[in-house]
Amino acid sequence: MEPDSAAPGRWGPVLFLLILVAAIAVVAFSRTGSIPIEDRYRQAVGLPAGNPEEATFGISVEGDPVLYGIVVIALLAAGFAAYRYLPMKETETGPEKCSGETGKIQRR
Amino acid sequence: MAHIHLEDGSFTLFWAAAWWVVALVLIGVALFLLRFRRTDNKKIILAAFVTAAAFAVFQVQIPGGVHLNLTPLIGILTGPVLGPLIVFIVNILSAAIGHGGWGLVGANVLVNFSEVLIAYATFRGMKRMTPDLFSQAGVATFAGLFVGNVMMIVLILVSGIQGVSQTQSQILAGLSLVAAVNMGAAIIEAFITGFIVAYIGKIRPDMLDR
Repeated sequence: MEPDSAAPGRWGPVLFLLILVAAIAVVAFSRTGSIPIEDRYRQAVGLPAGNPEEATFGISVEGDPVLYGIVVIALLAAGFAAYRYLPMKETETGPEKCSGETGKIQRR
Repeated sequence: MAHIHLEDGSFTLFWAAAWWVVALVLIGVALFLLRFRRTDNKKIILAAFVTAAAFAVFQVQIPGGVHLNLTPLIGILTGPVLGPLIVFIVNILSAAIGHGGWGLVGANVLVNFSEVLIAYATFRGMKRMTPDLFSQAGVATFAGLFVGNVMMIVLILVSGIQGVSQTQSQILAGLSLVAAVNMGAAIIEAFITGFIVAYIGKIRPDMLDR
Protein backbone atom coordinates (compact mmCIF):
# COMPACT_ATOMS: atom_id res chain seq x y z
CA MET A 1 0.00 0.00 0.00
CA GLU A 2 1.32 3.44 -0.94
CA PRO A 3 2.10 5.52 2.15
CA ASP A 4 0.01 8.65 2.55
CA SER A 5 2.24 11.58 3.50
CA ALA A 6 -0.69 14.00 3.57
CA ALA A 7 -2.61 12.23 6.29
CA PRO A 8 -3.92 14.90 8.70
CA GLY A 9 -2.07 15.04 11.98
CA ARG A 10 0.50 12.53 10.85
CA TRP A 11 3.43 14.83 11.53
CA GLY A 12 1.92 16.41 14.63
CA PRO A 13 3.88 14.25 17.07
CA VAL A 14 7.09 14.89 15.08
CA LEU A 15 6.56 18.66 15.22
CA PHE A 16 5.80 18.44 18.94
CA LEU A 17 9.01 16.47 19.48
CA LEU A 18 11.04 19.01 17.49
CA ILE A 19 9.63 21.92 19.48
CA LEU A 20 10.26 20.06 22.75
CA VAL A 21 13.86 19.25 21.80
CA ALA A 22 14.47 22.82 20.65
CA ALA A 23 13.12 24.14 23.96
CA ILE A 24 15.34 21.76 25.96
CA ALA A 25 18.33 22.78 23.82
CA VAL A 26 17.67 26.47 24.49
CA VAL A 27 17.43 25.85 28.25
CA ALA A 28 20.65 23.78 28.19
CA PHE A 29 22.38 26.43 26.11
CA SER A 30 21.35 29.18 28.50
CA ARG A 31 22.78 27.16 31.41
CA THR A 32 26.14 26.49 29.75
CA GLY A 33 26.48 29.77 27.87
CA SER A 34 28.03 30.49 24.50
CA ILE A 35 31.46 28.89 24.84
CA PRO A 36 33.78 27.04 22.43
CA ILE A 37 33.13 23.32 21.90
CA GLU A 38 36.24 22.19 23.76
CA ASP A 39 35.38 24.31 26.79
CA ARG A 40 31.82 22.94 26.79
CA TYR A 41 33.15 19.38 27.02
CA ARG A 42 35.83 20.24 29.58
CA GLN A 43 33.23 21.96 31.73
CA ALA A 44 30.88 18.96 31.40
CA VAL A 45 33.41 16.38 32.62
CA GLY A 46 34.99 18.63 35.26
CA LEU A 47 38.34 19.31 33.61
CA PRO A 48 39.88 22.68 34.38
CA ALA A 49 39.41 25.34 31.72
CA GLY A 50 42.50 26.32 29.80
CA ASN A 51 44.70 25.37 26.92
CA PRO A 52 44.23 21.63 26.18
CA GLU A 53 47.86 21.39 25.21
CA GLU A 54 48.83 22.04 28.81
CA ALA A 55 47.48 18.66 29.93
CA THR A 56 50.07 17.00 32.12
CA PHE A 57 48.55 13.60 32.86
CA GLY A 58 48.29 10.54 30.67
CA ILE A 59 49.49 10.57 27.08
CA SER A 60 49.67 13.97 25.44
CA VAL A 61 50.37 13.76 21.73
CA GLU A 62 48.82 17.12 21.07
CA GLY A 63 51.54 19.75 21.31
CA ASP A 64 54.39 17.19 21.24
CA PRO A 65 55.99 17.36 17.75
CA VAL A 66 57.98 14.12 18.19
CA LEU A 67 55.01 11.97 19.24
CA TYR A 68 52.89 13.74 16.66
CA GLY A 69 55.43 12.89 13.94
CA ILE A 70 55.59 9.26 15.05
CA VAL A 71 51.81 8.90 14.85
CA VAL A 72 51.61 10.54 11.41
CA ILE A 73 54.52 8.44 10.03
CA ALA A 74 52.96 5.25 11.41
CA LEU A 75 49.64 6.10 9.76
CA LEU A 76 51.34 6.94 6.46
CA ALA A 77 53.30 3.66 6.56
CA ALA A 78 50.14 1.68 7.31
CA GLY A 79 48.28 3.45 4.50
CA PHE A 80 51.10 2.83 2.03
CA ALA A 81 51.36 -0.84 3.04
CA ALA A 82 47.61 -1.32 2.61
CA TYR A 83 47.69 0.40 -0.79
CA ARG A 84 50.77 -1.49 -1.97
CA TYR A 85 50.14 -5.01 -0.73
CA LEU A 86 46.36 -5.49 -0.50
CA PRO A 87 45.07 -6.75 -3.87
CA MET A 88 42.28 -4.69 -5.40
CA LYS A 89 39.27 -6.35 -6.95
CA GLU A 90 37.90 -5.37 -10.31
CA THR A 91 35.19 -2.77 -9.93
CA GLU A 92 31.95 -2.50 -11.85
CA THR A 93 32.72 0.59 -13.89
CA GLY A 94 36.35 1.43 -13.19
CA PRO A 95 39.37 1.02 -15.43
CA GLU A 96 41.46 -0.94 -12.89
CA LYS A 97 41.59 -4.67 -12.58
CA CYS A 98 43.37 -6.96 -10.19
CA SER A 99 46.20 -9.09 -11.45
CA GLY A 100 45.63 -11.75 -8.81
CA GLU A 101 48.02 -12.47 -5.99
CA THR A 102 50.49 -9.71 -6.71
CA GLY A 103 47.89 -7.04 -6.17
CA LYS A 104 49.34 -4.83 -8.89
CA ILE A 105 46.88 -2.74 -10.80
CA GLN A 106 46.80 -3.14 -14.56
CA ARG A 107 45.35 -0.57 -16.90
CA ARG A 108 43.15 -1.80 -19.71
CA MET B 1 26.71 16.18 15.93
CA ALA B 2 28.25 14.13 18.68
CA HIS B 3 32.01 14.21 18.74
CA ILE B 4 34.17 13.86 21.84
CA HIS B 5 36.08 17.12 22.07
CA LEU B 6 38.56 16.18 24.76
CA GLU B 7 42.34 16.21 24.54
CA ASP B 8 44.70 13.23 24.70
CA GLY B 9 45.12 12.11 28.28
CA SER B 10 41.45 12.52 29.14
CA PHE B 11 40.95 8.77 28.79
CA THR B 12 43.37 6.32 30.36
CA LEU B 13 45.78 4.66 27.94
CA PHE B 14 43.83 1.41 28.38
CA TRP B 15 40.50 2.90 27.28
CA ALA B 16 42.01 4.99 24.49
CA ALA B 17 43.64 1.80 23.13
CA ALA B 18 40.49 -0.27 23.70
CA TRP B 19 38.29 2.06 21.61
CA TRP B 20 41.01 2.20 18.94
CA VAL B 21 41.03 -1.61 18.77
CA VAL B 22 37.23 -1.81 18.51
CA ALA B 23 37.25 0.87 15.80
CA LEU B 24 40.00 -0.93 13.87
CA VAL B 25 38.04 -4.20 14.06
CA LEU B 26 35.02 -2.34 12.67
CA ILE B 27 37.13 -0.89 9.86
CA GLY B 28 38.59 -4.35 9.20
CA VAL B 29 35.10 -5.80 8.86
CA ALA B 30 34.16 -2.96 6.49
CA LEU B 31 37.26 -3.60 4.36
CA PHE B 32 36.53 -7.33 4.36
CA LEU B 33 32.97 -6.74 3.16
CA LEU B 34 34.16 -4.27 0.52
CA ARG B 35 36.58 -6.82 -0.90
CA PHE B 36 33.84 -9.37 -1.35
CA ARG B 37 31.20 -7.03 -2.75
CA ARG B 38 31.17 -5.33 -6.08
CA THR B 39 31.36 -1.64 -5.32
CA ASP B 40 30.34 0.77 -8.02
CA ASN B 41 33.04 3.35 -8.76
CA LYS B 42 30.38 6.04 -8.59
CA LYS B 43 29.81 5.05 -4.97
CA ILE B 44 33.53 5.42 -4.24
CA ILE B 45 33.59 8.89 -5.80
CA LEU B 46 30.50 9.82 -3.80
CA ALA B 47 32.26 8.57 -0.66
CA ALA B 48 35.23 10.82 -1.45
CA PHE B 49 32.95 13.82 -1.85
CA VAL B 50 31.09 13.25 1.40
CA THR B 51 34.41 12.69 3.20
CA ALA B 52 35.62 16.10 2.05
CA ALA B 53 32.28 17.72 2.87
CA ALA B 54 32.11 16.16 6.34
CA PHE B 55 35.70 17.14 7.14
CA ALA B 56 35.04 20.72 6.07
CA VAL B 57 31.82 21.03 8.01
CA PHE B 58 33.46 19.49 11.10
CA GLN B 59 35.75 22.51 11.27
CA VAL B 60 33.04 25.14 11.01
CA GLN B 61 31.96 26.08 14.48
CA ILE B 62 28.52 27.65 14.39
CA PRO B 63 27.82 30.35 17.00
CA GLY B 64 27.13 28.84 20.39
CA GLY B 65 29.91 26.26 20.35
CA VAL B 66 28.58 23.42 18.19
CA HIS B 67 29.33 22.11 14.72
CA LEU B 68 27.50 19.98 12.19
CA ASN B 69 28.71 16.48 11.28
CA LEU B 70 26.96 15.34 8.09
CA THR B 71 27.50 11.78 9.33
CA PRO B 72 23.82 10.90 8.72
CA LEU B 73 24.23 12.13 5.15
CA ILE B 74 27.23 9.79 4.86
CA GLY B 75 25.03 6.90 5.98
CA ILE B 76 22.20 7.81 3.64
CA LEU B 77 24.40 8.27 0.56
CA THR B 78 27.11 5.64 1.01
CA GLY B 79 25.70 3.07 3.43
CA PRO B 80 27.09 1.35 6.51
CA VAL B 81 29.99 -0.43 4.79
CA LEU B 82 31.80 2.62 3.44
CA GLY B 83 30.67 4.63 6.46
CA PRO B 84 33.33 3.42 8.96
CA LEU B 85 36.10 4.19 6.47
CA ILE B 86 34.77 7.68 5.84
CA VAL B 87 34.35 8.60 9.50
CA PHE B 88 37.81 7.15 10.25
CA ILE B 89 39.42 9.38 7.60
CA VAL B 90 37.47 12.43 8.77
CA ASN B 91 38.50 11.82 12.38
CA ILE B 92 42.15 11.25 11.46
CA LEU B 93 42.26 14.48 9.45
CA SER B 94 40.45 16.33 12.23
CA ALA B 95 42.87 15.06 14.88
CA ALA B 96 45.74 16.10 12.62
CA ILE B 97 44.67 19.72 12.98
CA GLY B 98 43.92 19.48 16.70
CA HIS B 99 40.17 18.82 16.48
CA GLY B 100 39.85 16.07 19.10
CA GLY B 101 42.79 14.08 20.43
CA TRP B 102 44.58 11.28 18.59
CA GLY B 103 43.82 8.93 21.44
CA LEU B 104 40.12 9.65 21.04
CA VAL B 105 39.95 8.88 17.32
CA GLY B 106 38.84 5.30 18.08
CA ALA B 107 36.04 6.44 20.37
CA ASN B 108 34.99 9.16 17.94
CA VAL B 109 34.88 6.67 15.05
CA LEU B 110 32.47 4.55 17.10
CA VAL B 111 30.32 7.58 17.96
CA ASN B 112 30.19 8.73 14.34
CA PHE B 113 29.63 5.22 13.01
CA SER B 114 26.59 4.83 15.26
CA GLU B 115 25.19 7.98 13.60
CA VAL B 116 25.93 6.59 10.13
CA LEU B 117 24.35 3.23 10.90
CA ILE B 118 21.19 4.52 12.56
CA ALA B 119 20.64 7.18 9.88
CA TYR B 120 21.06 4.57 7.15
CA ALA B 121 18.67 2.11 8.80
CA THR B 122 16.08 4.78 9.63
CA PHE B 123 16.22 6.23 6.11
CA ARG B 124 15.59 2.79 4.63
CA GLY B 125 12.88 2.02 7.19
CA MET B 126 11.09 5.35 6.66
CA LYS B 127 10.48 4.47 3.01
CA ARG B 128 7.50 2.39 4.07
CA MET B 129 6.05 5.22 6.15
CA THR B 130 6.29 8.15 3.75
CA PRO B 131 7.43 8.70 0.15
CA ASP B 132 8.71 12.17 1.04
CA LEU B 133 12.53 12.17 0.86
CA PHE B 134 12.84 15.30 2.98
CA SER B 135 10.94 13.67 5.83
CA GLN B 136 12.81 10.39 5.47
CA ALA B 137 16.21 12.08 5.59
CA GLY B 138 15.24 14.56 8.31
CA VAL B 139 13.93 11.91 10.69
CA ALA B 140 16.88 9.61 9.88
CA THR B 141 19.34 12.42 10.63
CA PHE B 142 17.68 13.31 13.90
CA ALA B 143 17.57 9.67 15.00
CA GLY B 144 21.20 9.11 14.01
CA LEU B 145 22.43 12.16 15.88
CA PHE B 146 20.39 11.27 18.95
CA VAL B 147 21.96 7.82 19.10
CA GLY B 148 25.39 9.38 18.47
CA ASN B 149 24.95 11.60 21.52
CA VAL B 150 23.89 8.63 23.64
CA MET B 151 26.93 6.72 22.38
CA MET B 152 29.19 9.67 23.22
CA ILE B 153 27.89 9.79 26.80
CA VAL B 154 28.17 6.02 27.24
CA LEU B 155 31.77 5.88 25.96
CA ILE B 156 32.88 8.72 28.25
CA LEU B 157 31.12 7.23 31.28
CA VAL B 158 32.56 3.78 30.65
CA SER B 159 36.07 5.14 30.09
CA GLY B 160 36.07 7.66 32.91
CA ILE B 161 38.07 10.88 32.84
CA GLN B 162 41.57 11.06 34.31
CA GLY B 163 42.38 13.77 36.79
CA VAL B 164 38.87 14.82 37.75
CA SER B 165 37.11 14.47 41.07
CA GLN B 166 33.58 14.48 39.70
CA THR B 167 31.36 11.46 40.25
CA GLN B 168 29.81 9.51 37.37
CA SER B 169 26.44 11.11 38.02
CA GLN B 170 27.95 14.61 37.92
CA ILE B 171 29.68 13.80 34.64
CA LEU B 172 26.41 12.36 33.31
CA ALA B 173 24.59 15.56 34.26
CA GLY B 174 27.24 17.69 32.55
CA LEU B 175 27.25 15.58 29.40
CA SER B 176 23.45 15.58 29.29
CA LEU B 177 23.58 19.36 28.98
CA VAL B 178 26.12 19.03 26.15
CA ALA B 179 23.90 16.45 24.44
CA ALA B 180 20.85 18.71 24.83
CA VAL B 181 22.68 21.58 23.12
CA ASN B 182 23.88 19.14 20.45
CA MET B 183 20.31 18.02 19.78
CA GLY B 184 19.36 21.64 19.12
CA ALA B 185 22.01 21.64 16.41
CA ALA B 186 20.69 18.24 15.28
CA ILE B 187 17.40 19.90 14.32
CA ILE B 188 19.33 22.29 12.05
CA GLU B 189 21.33 19.40 10.60
CA ALA B 190 18.13 17.39 10.04
CA PHE B 191 16.69 20.22 7.93
CA ILE B 192 19.95 20.67 5.99
CA THR B 193 20.29 16.94 5.31
CA GLY B 194 16.61 16.75 4.40
CA PHE B 195 16.99 19.48 1.80
CA ILE B 196 20.20 17.95 0.39
CA VAL B 197 18.65 14.48 0.06
CA ALA B 198 15.41 15.84 -1.39
CA TYR B 199 17.41 17.80 -3.97
CA ILE B 200 19.55 14.77 -4.86
CA GLY B 201 16.36 12.73 -5.13
CA LYS B 202 15.03 15.17 -7.72
CA ILE B 203 18.10 15.45 -9.92
CA ARG B 204 19.89 12.11 -9.36
CA PRO B 205 17.58 9.54 -7.75
CA ASP B 206 20.02 6.80 -8.79
CA MET B 207 22.43 8.14 -6.14
CA LEU B 208 19.86 7.18 -3.53
CA ASP B 209 19.29 3.75 -5.10
CA ARG B 210 15.77 4.86 -6.03
